[in-house]
Amino acid sequence: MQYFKVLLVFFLLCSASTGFAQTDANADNKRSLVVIVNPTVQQDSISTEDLRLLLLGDIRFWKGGGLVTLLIQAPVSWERDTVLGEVMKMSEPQYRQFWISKVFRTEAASGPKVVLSNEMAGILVSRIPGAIAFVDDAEVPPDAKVLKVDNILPGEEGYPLVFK
Amino acid sequence: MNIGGKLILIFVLVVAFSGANLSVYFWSKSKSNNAIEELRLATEVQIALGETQRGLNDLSKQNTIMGQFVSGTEDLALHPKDIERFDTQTNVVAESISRISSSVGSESSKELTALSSKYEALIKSWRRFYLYFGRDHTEALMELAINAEPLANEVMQIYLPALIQAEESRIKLARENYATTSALTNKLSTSVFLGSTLFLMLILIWFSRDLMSRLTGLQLGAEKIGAGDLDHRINDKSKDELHDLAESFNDMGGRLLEARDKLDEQYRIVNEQRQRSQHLLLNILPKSTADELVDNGKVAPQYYSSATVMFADIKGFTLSTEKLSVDKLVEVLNEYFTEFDKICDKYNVEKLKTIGDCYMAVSGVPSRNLSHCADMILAAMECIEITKQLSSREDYPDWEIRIGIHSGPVVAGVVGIKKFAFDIWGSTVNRAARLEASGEANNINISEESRSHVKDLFNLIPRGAIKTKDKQDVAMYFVDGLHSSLLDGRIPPRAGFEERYQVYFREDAQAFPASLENLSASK
Repeated sequence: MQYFKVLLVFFLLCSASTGFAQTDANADNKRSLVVIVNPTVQQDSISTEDLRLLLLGDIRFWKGGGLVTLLIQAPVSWERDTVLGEVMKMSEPQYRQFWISKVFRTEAASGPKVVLSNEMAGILVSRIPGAIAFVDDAEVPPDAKVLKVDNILPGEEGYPLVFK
Repeated sequence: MNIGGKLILIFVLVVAFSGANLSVYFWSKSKSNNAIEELRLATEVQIALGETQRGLNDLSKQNTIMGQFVSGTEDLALHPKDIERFDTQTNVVAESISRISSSVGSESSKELTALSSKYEALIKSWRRFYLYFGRDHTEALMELAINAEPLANEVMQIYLPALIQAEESRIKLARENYATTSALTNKLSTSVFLGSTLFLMLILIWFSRDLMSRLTGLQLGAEKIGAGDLDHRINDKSKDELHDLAESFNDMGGRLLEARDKLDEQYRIVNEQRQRSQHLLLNILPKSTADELVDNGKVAPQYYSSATVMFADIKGFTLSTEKLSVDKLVEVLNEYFTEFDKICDKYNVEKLKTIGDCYMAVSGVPSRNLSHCADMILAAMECIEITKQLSSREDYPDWEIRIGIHSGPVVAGVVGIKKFAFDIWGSTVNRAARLEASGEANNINISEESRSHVKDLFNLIPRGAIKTKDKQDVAMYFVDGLHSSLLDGRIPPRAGFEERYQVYFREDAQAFPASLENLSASK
């Protein structure tokens, strides 16, 4: 019996520790979406609205010159889902349909390029002039140029691209 | 210039203007063809540019869409056939660009060169993208983003629009050239055609009017000359065939005038001779008989149921032949008979002949009338009166005349073919001669037949039946002036006589002897 009580206590303790751990983990799951650009891009900051317009292909050139090359993660990635769902408020099919129509209506000379990982995004952003990509704050390449969003850097208070 | 020269000149002008019209037409056509060719080339370039733009768009869309695919796995790598299809597509565009280069104007060559070089670079970039696609996604995207899309952007947003704009300017210029050329050539063609037509029309109108007016002048001149106006001359101052023709007409008119003058002179001479002959003929023949003889060459004998014949014989002529010379005798006799001739003419009495000192006349022949006996008695009275006057002259013989008159039927005509004379035949002639022989000097002895014609006009003194030379008893009467009823003093004797004469014979008296008028007044 004593053995069961010890086991029960141990179980409860384990369960409690697990629950606490889970609670801490959930608190840490808030991830920031960092906007990285090629260093040739002269802008340092972008507004949330301009970011949305850029994702919709309505902004094709950077302020100060240079063609925008939009890099976006492949489907089912967190970054892509977050960008589509939170920033653009679109589903995957809607987004695809939107871009295919835009390209076929010749309203856009180029479309978003699919990258397979944050690492690839970092590499391509560093090598393609005017490129922009959205990466997890944990995987921001060390030499990448990070844009402020609404003049707020990732990690600072009020950064708008913070999602679970 | 002659008419032939004028016609040749007009022909040359027509040919020259036709040549000018043709030249303008061919020049216009050449200009229009050039403009159309220019327009056609520009249109072809536009079509080729459209095809190029469409092809580039298709390729660009295709690659843009492909850029959204994940291509990191080998199974997504493009099949060689897809590469071939890509090459085909790019070749189509390249052919379009090549067609543009063959048709494009020199003003667009810079844009075309830039387009061609950029397109070649773009094709290479796209080809690399295809080759990387499915094999190395990073390189594929880098090629697409770094090279292909900026190149495609340049080509489609800069060079192609620049070329299109240049060609649009060219086609606009070609259209304007075509419109300008068409308007110019149309105006020029119309102006040259209208100008030449108007000029030729004016020339032809002038020529035809000149020709027609001169021909009309010639026609009128010819008609006038033909109608006998030989003094008319056609006035044509030009130096051509019509002038020669007018001169010929004028010469002909002149010659005709000369000929007519000669003919008139000849006619005048002939007429004078004819009149002289006619006069001579009328001296021996009555006018109607002379006309018949002239017309037919002979005179048919005519029967007159009633005519009056007079014989007048000069009493004392035989004695005069012994006293007067022959010349004087003939001269005096001629004077008497000349006066008798005048009296006969005056009373419409036809002198027939003289036989020695005997004067024979007839009345009522050849023109028939009812007053023949009265006319003859009036003439006889005047012959007696003139005889008295002549006899009273100094150096003139003391002659008297004895007149016998008888009325009755006679036959008149002309006999013989030489020295022919108008004469009458019948018993009336003989009776008249008997009456003359039975008469007295300065008296008019008439027969019963004559008396019946004039018994109401003259006072007649019966002589009873007197035996003539042929032993016949013939009732004779002396005429003793006018009838007593005409001398009653109510109206002048002459007026009364003439009134009665008109009532009896339905014609006016030819004349009235003055001596008879005086005699009547004295009574």
